[in-house]
Amino acid sequence: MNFPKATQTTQTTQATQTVAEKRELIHLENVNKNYHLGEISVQALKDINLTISSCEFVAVAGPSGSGKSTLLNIIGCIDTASDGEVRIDRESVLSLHDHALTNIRLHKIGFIFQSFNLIPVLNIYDNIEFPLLLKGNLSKAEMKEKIYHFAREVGLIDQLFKKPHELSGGQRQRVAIARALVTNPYIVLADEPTANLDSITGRSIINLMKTINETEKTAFLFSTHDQTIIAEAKRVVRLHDGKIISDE
Amino acid sequence: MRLIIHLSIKHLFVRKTKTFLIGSIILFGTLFMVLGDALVESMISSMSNSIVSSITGNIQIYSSQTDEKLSVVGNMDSNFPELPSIKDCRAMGELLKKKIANIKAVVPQGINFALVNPGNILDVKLRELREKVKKGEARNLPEIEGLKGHITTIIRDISSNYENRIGQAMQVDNDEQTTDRQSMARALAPNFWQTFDEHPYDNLEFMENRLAPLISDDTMLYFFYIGTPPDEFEQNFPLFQIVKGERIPKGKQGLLLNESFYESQVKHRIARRLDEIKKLIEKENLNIRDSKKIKDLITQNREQILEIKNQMGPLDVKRLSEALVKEEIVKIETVKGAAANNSTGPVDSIDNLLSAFFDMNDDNFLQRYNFFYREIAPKIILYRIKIGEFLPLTSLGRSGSTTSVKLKVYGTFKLKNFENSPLIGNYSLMDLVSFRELLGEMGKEKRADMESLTREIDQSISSATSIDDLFSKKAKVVTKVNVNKVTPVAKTTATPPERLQLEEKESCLNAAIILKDQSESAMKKVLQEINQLSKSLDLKIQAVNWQEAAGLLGQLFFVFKLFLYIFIAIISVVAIFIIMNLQVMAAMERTKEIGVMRAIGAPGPFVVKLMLVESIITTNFFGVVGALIGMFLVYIFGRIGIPANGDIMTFLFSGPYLYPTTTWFSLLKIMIILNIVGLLAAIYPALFAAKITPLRAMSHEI
Repeated sequence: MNFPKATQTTQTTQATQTVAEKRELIHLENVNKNYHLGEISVQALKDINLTISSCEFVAVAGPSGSGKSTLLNIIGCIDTASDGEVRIDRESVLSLHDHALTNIRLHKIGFIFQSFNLIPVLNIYDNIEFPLLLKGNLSKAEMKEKIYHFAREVGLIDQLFKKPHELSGGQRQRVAIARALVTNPYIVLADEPTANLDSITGRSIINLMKTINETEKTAFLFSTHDQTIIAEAKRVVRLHDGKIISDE
Repeated sequence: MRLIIHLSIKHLFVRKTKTFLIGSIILFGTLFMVLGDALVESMISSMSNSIVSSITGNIQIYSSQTDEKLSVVGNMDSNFPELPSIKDCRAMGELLKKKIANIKAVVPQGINFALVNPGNILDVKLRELREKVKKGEARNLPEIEGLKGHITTIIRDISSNYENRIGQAMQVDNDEQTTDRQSMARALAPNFWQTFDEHPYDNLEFMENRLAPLISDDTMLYFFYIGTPPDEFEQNFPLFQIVKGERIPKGKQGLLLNESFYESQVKHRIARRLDEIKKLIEKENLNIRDSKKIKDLITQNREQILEIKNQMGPLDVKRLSEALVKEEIVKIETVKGAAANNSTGPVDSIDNLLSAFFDMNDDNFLQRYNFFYREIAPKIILYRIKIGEFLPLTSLGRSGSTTSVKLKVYGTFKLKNFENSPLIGNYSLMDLVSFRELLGEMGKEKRADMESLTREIDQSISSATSIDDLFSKKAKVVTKVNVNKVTPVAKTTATPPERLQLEEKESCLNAAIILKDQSESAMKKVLQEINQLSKSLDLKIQAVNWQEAAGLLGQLFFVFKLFLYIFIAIISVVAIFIIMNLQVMAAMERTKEIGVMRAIGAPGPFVVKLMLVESIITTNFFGVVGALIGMFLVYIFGRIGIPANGDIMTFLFSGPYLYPTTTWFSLLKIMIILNIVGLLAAIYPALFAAKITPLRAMSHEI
């Protein structure tokens, strides 16, 4: 498996690439997901067909239990589909082992969680640096440059050496966004990124994601059931009982 | 790795309580390991030095013509192997020294077992009387009369106890009983001492052979002895020290008794008990009121006051009674109280006075102890063997028959650090010539003596005209020894001349080799060299290291080490389980965090490494702190010494104090064990953590 070298993919070149050609990043074809709770089988996703291309800003909407989180888990290689075809960057992931899936998560996908999930023992700088150290292909200076760049992007340049518990919810989610972006992923998956935030902060986080989507040309796929947030999305995929009921 | 170390350290700081808990287990575990290791290693090293410097040397050689294993200190069953002799120890020693440069000295040795009958109180008094008769001292001198009176008192006591003993344990046939009763009646007859003066030697022999054996006490003494050239032994075994008397002069035959044996077996048993009570009070902080052990000793002393009384003449009894009353050691009221219960004599009789005297308590013990040694000890036989006297020793020789040799007791000695050792404290020391004689290996001189004696007997047989001539008074008396009753004949024979030791260049059973370079590696090399030399030159010897030669003591070291390893193993296993549980708990608490790391892209091995590194950092940090505290304590104990409490501790410590030390090697060993413990404790939690999937951790998050 060949991964693109993130360091070589600067903002300009990535922007040039995305303008030049819209790459297919995520492709789901007839995907089903069944959960077995004892003798009862629950179908969380039914016959899902979905394609997301580079630079897209997509919201997955639907009520609780509609399958939003399951869909994001399968796209994020955290969970596997029961059947169907899942391709990340045109590579089928259904038959891949844990190690390969971990590599896809590290190199191609960024994650933003509902509860921020920063590593509490590390300061903001270290949290943002963490995935870069896992990748291990940059020099210390290069990593520093990247961290400062994204900290500036999310407006936390002055908070870099604070611990997560010293920041507000909104600030922590901004750190999570910086951490998700620092490896230059093709797509950032965000599960209910505003659920734990007040509406103003939530809106500002979505605006930040939108801005980055435009400036960095990174695709975003986020789930939400907040109508005001859904309104900010360029494309909305609606789920109901595990089925896509609309994609507009 | 930088990230892992960075994360690990951060985690350890954040989870202070858990880190401190695990750290404390490691710290105290290390501390105990360092102390335990230092204690056991120092004890072993101290005992090793003591054994090497007191009895075995670095290496022992003995005949290779046997399947038996050499055991200088005896086996578990207290037996010694029957070893063939090394024919010429001196020449063998010279050869080895010439061929192997590292050998400093070869000291011939041999170990055997002897029994000796120093005689009972009647024997002693009769010996005194014989000396006076021999000197032709006037018959009616008060001193001789006093001695005769004393002998009569002893015979009267024998007579009054005889019937009791017949009823209890002593098995004597009727004829013998009649003879015994007649003998006692004869000695107690009013005109006995008149007839004694007419035929003193016949009467002395009568009392020695017929009456003295009727006293039943523990007259037989048993001890082990090392046969060796005494001067060479002293030169090469630095822990050897003369305590009483003098060394055996060079070229003389003689015996040095072990001081421990002398004090614990030869000393008057009432004095021994008083010494023991004093030791228990002073060393073990016991008191008479609460200690059953001391009370029993006091009761035993009170029951055996006859052993004091019998040893004193009438004059001494009178003087002692006066001193006891005069110095108010014993208050008459107390005597009356004691006498009212069980006395038969007058209230202030010596029996009652002594019984009251030995009824000691915490208030009067020390005063009475001092009084005993000041006033009573000089009047009794404090030691059954006197320094300077000739002692008839009997040993089992090679042929299975017993051999007796009469040897001068020159003094007592101790092997420093083994004063109270039950194993080595019973070893006495004699010259090698006497040793060989007792073993039945006659030297040139003895062989010449025997040949001359044989010739003499042959002549007397050939010149005898009838059987009666052979058994007439002129003929030499052949006495059949009755081991149950008759004291050895040698006791009544004249003192042998101190002979020159002419046979140094002869056999020995084993030999101690002292090395110049005493290191373990040098010792191993010499062992190999000797065994190779023996093979190539057909010396018929084999060499073993001191530990193997020490027998029971050598095995004791293995036991100590075993205990140490079991101790370390227990600490390690307990630590592993506690740490493992705490780590698993920590991993469960960190499920979400680990899940996030895994979701972001941390592979499973990253999590495993993270957990292992955390464990190694904790182990090494707290381990080093524990080791430093342990080293500090070892240093302090090494300076002030750990006092030995009681005889067993003194033996184990090889002296009154143990000065523990530790080595860098020991610390390295402990740190390696610690890291193994840390890793083993972390493996399961690490694998547990690595199995945490991002999905499980984030089930409600993504």
